[in-house]
Amino acid sequence: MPPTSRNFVGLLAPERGVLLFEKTGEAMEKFVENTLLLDFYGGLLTEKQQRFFSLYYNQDMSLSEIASEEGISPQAVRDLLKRTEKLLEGYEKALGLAKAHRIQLASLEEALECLDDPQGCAKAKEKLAKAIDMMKGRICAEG
Amino acid sequence: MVKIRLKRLGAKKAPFYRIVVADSRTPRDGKSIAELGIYDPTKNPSVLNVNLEEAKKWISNGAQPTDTVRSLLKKAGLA
Repeated sequence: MPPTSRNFVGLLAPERGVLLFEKTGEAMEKFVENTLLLDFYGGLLTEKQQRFFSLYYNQDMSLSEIASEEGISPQAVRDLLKRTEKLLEGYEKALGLAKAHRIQLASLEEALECLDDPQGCAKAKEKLAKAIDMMKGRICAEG
Repeated sequence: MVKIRLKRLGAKKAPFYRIVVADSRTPRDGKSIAELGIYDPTKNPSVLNVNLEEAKKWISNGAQPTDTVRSLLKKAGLA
């Protein structure tokens, strides 16, 4: 059934900017961050690590559901997920691809928004230059 | 058991979720029984659009939300 006009429409990240997925201790943001890290670095994991991480984060299966499907204990699933998460965080710390992607995307979206304003051309150009510089590696995905 | 879970759609690096009701025996891309709304974290700010009345009805009929769905429903104002 499609959502109706009586539905709740909520805004989870009221502040604008590039920090939409920045970890704030919010369970949901962590969840989304982990799915993104899997998209970026999944290829560096073993087949088993990828499978478990994907079941948990892409299929939203519980530890016990994965455990019974794989024939191991929920604690073993939990340990494997935690280890995989640490690995992915290590890759992101070293390479910063997810963060760079986020910042570039935000710059492009901001540039597009600036073009709605007839006077916003120079501002848009500045944002686009920033995104291009970042893609060329002239500036890092700092802060 | 009937579960309320997130179903990931969208491209790589652009996650987008549907909140669906599904049988827990068919978790992997299984058919969903009903769709309760969407959660789009790629938008800034994130967009959550969920039919709370339907969600309440399913929960009172014994459907179990996953932890992630529970936290989204809580944000949407479901006690």
